[in-house]
Amino acid sequence: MIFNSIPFLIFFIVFYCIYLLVESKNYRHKLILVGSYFFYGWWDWRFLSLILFSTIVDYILGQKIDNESSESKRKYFLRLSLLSNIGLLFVFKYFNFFVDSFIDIGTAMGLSPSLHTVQIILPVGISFYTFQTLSYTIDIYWRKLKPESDFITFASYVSFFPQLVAGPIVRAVDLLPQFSLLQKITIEHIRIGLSLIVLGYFKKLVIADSLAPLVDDAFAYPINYTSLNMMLIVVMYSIQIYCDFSGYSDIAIGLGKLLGFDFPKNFNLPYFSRNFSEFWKRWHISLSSWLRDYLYIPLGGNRNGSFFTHRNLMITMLLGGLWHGANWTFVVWGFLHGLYLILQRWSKPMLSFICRPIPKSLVGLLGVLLTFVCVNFAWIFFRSQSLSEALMIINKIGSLDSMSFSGLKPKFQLIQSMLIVLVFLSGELIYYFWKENIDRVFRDKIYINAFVCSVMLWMILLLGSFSNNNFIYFQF
Amino acid sequence: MYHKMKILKPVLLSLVIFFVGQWIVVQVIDAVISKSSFRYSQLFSDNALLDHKVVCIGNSRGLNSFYTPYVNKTYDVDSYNLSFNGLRMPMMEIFIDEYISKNSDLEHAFIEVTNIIDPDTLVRYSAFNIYSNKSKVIQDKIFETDAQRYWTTKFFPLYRYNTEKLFRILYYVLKPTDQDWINRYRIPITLEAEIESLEQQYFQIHQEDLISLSRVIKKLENQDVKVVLFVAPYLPRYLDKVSNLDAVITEIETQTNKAIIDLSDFVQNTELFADRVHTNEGGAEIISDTLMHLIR
Repeated sequence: MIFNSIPFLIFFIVFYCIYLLVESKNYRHKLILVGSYFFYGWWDWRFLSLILFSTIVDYILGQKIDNESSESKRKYFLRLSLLSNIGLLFVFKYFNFFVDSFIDIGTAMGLSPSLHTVQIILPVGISFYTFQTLSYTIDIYWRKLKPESDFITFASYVSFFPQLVAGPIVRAVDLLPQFSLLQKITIEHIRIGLSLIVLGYFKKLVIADSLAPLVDDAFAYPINYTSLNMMLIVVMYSIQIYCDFSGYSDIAIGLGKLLGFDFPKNFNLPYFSRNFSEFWKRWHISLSSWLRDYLYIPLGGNRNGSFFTHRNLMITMLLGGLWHGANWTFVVWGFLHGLYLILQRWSKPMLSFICRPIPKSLVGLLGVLLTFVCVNFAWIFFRSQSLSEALMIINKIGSLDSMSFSGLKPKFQLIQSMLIVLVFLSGELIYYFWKENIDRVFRDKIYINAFVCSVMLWMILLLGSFSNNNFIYFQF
Repeated sequence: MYHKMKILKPVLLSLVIFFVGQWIVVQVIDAVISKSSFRYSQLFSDNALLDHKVVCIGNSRGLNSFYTPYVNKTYDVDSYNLSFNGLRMPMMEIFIDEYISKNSDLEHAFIEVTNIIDPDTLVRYSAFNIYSNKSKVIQDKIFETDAQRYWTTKFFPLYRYNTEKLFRILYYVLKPTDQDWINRYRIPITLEAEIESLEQQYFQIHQEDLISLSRVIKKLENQDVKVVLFVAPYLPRYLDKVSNLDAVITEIETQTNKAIIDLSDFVQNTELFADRVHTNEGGAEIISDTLMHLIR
């Protein structure tokens, strides 16, 4: 079931009415569990067994790790948890990728490996709920969290439908304590929840899905586009993916809010970042902080000199890239971001010296522009189906064959897309400069909040694309 | 109870703002649309002045074959092109009904008939939802073919304007006419290779469209309008790939009991094409001349 579909709207209205009527904590957990399994099973009920497996394994292992006093046994149970979760991920997401890559390497070396791939369906959201359950057992191992004794509560946490299939990745340490309380739904919950849901749908249906046809066509047939057109298309894609994913996160956080839960922020105006490390503090925050806390820091972080810091950064970003999908394009995307972060650290003293006489605001603006351009360059790999497709697009842009926008068709769709980009940029700029004031006005003057939401709803009705396009991050 | 009322009040206020605001926006858009010179806005306008003597009907091939600014200037006649991209015959029939009910001066109608072999398998009535408040027939057809859109429009009338046509309509608010809209580009260099890689093409006739075409001819002739059926030119290289155009033409002639002017290979100069199935403004002038000579 996807958020931008009629079945989901019906499901949520029915679910929410029952949820409001139930005033017992335990019954609410049961309702969340049944609702979440129904939500996931609507896509393919067979894969509920994977969630159930992951839930049972981590529930048991969490208890074992906590009860065990011997450090070696605790480590053993943790490894078992890592193995089962990463094993699932490997089988369902990466098996064919590694087999194909092994065959390619073998063939390139003149060998003829006789390995075979198998038809495997990628279960929706597996990367998200696997990371979520991993954080549970690791935090118990680090003694940051006590295991959940009630299985229903734990299962509700793992399968909680608002963030089950595409995040945000909410760690057990943040979410489980909320399950221990009976959520009292206040007017603030409803105001923020509905506003975020409307904003999310606006970003997805009006911005992301309207840009999608142009972007899809250009990436499928780059030969039909001039280099200048292609540059514009890449910028459009960066706006599309941001609005698609942050739109999903907004809806998820909004749904959580309506149910009385607080999820952490997943995006914070990422394209206004002045450098790459800031970008990763603003883009997909729940994943980047997960990778920082459970991968980068355990690897040693920045504690053992610059060589190991750079190595750790690169490993983290490469695995972060691979987390998105079993394709070399994602590995290259991760590599580029690793490289950007390393170059940023390496050049920091030199840049500080060079930029000393330049006004800070100008340095900031140049930083935003440079970061945006480099992030866009990396998106080419992220969006392309293969490395050769990405290189073809880069060649197209680099050829500078025509500096005219005239070849872009159809005209009226383009006008619509450009208007949408303008609306997006103005909205982001306004929020960037007057964030606190806007938040305060919305909180204090509810009719202004209602009016702004109404404007977004009118624009959804007027300009939204209602072709049930999947969210991009569903494939991860 | 107090807690629930405290929640209910702002929710109701928000709903009132949304629905009242929506009603106001709809009124504004409707007023703007009625000022547009886009062909179908003109057609459904309450005070439209439709007194053309010659009309051309078809899909994008009809649109790019008959260039009315050229015809009006050269032949000193009041002509109009009612064609539109991807327009199938049953949809066109609704427009023709509306048109002949408003224009008793019409003398000649050119019908480009290849919209009955349109590759689109569906008649997209929903694409003209924007006029569903002006035409009961369009509304009923949308109800039959796309109930979800029908009901969404009923509850949220702003959704009626959720179409790329809205931008066209708004664009033509600023222009006196939309009749100068025609393909002005030349065939792209990649087209030749594209055509070479095409497999042999077989055109399929939509029976529903053929029946509709016969009805349209009858309705026009009942109004004393002389009807000319024609097939617009195809790019010669593309035409070579089509196996059954002659058979299609014969079948239409048999079913409608009317001869067709076959111009499919009439234009050989590729400079006069915008793509494989559409002429550009140069090609349109030649076809317009040919058609006008037939009725002169």
